[in-house]
Amino acid sequence: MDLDIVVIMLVSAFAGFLGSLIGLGGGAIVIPVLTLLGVPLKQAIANSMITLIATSSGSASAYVRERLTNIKVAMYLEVFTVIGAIFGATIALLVPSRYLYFFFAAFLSTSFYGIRRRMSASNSHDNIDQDRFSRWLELEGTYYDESSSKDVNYKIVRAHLGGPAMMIAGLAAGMLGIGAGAFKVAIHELILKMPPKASSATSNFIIGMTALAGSTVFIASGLINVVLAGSIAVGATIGSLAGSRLLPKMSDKAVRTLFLTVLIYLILQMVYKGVASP
Amino acid sequence: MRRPALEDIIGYILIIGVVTSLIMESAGLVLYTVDKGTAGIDLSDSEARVRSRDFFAYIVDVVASVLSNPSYASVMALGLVLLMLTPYLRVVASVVYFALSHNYKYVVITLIVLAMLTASLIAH
Repeated sequence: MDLDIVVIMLVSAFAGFLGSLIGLGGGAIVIPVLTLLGVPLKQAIANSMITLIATSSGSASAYVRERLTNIKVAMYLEVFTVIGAIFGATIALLVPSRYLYFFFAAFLSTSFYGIRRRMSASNSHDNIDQDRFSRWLELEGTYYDESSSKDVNYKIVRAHLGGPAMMIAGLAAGMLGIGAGAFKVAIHELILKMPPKASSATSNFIIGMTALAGSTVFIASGLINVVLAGSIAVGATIGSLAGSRLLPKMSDKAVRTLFLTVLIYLILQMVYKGVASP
Repeated sequence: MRRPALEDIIGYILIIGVVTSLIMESAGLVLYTVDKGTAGIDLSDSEARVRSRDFFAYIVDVVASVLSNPSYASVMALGLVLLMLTPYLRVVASVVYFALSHNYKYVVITLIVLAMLTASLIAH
């Protein structure tokens, strides 16, 4: 198929829509679709990475004003994701595309964590014994939870482990041109013991910074094409806004089924591309 | 006057940056279609290619070319520059905010992030 502004905008809108609906982020969907349309993988990665700044910052702006985002936690973790993303993007430019397809498929598999998360009930985050380093970093927060109509207080633990883990998330994000949101949320919840809503909002906030860090490398590579990047940015932002409006109206079961179908299809497609590429 | 909360400052930086950038991208897409007479994308079009060795020098170039000779390529390049400046400015705002709040621990943390981004933007 020929590349066309309208086609790219439509598939990006669809990817952004689906991405925000199933919590996968647009990048993970738009990159495989762009390669299907004939865009070389590295170009798809570079152009998608820069547009992630738009899709993540739109919703990040709302979350941060609603006080769901924990800015101190984000700033501390960004030290690590920025290093990771700069290295990741540099690696992406150096390794053969063939390997990137396999990394992509492998990394998409970490998104299965999202399913487990939707099924588990949120547990209490009060009365946690904070370690000295996390307390020194002032990593704690409060937000108002609308579904239970009360304030949720929480304290972050094991910041010394969460930082280096986020470096891996940044590395994968920079290398594959994606937000790696599911992986980031998993670190926030499993290692740092952050409650789900604060964790999603903070991960979304950090994705904008990781995307910038990766873009600092790609912008010098000559892989970014303003027309391609512009079409993805406009399409994906419209799509993800629409998706976030529809999300509260969809049943968990429908979201889960959609998520599984899309994820398995994308993994198979990337493995196939990796095997088939020279 | 009481200082506004960092959350609000950052929230507005993000939304203003993204909206402005998307308006420029959309305008550029229209200019492109009119200019080329087609909506087809040519990945080998060198005019549409971004190649910035030093991002800050690139900003000056892009602004100059939008002012002197506005074309789809310069308008869209400016849109992308604004997009990249959005998270960058929110780090700058955080550094200033933590400095004014005398929270030097976080001045150092945010400065580390800012320094790495700046170095990577200049050094490629």
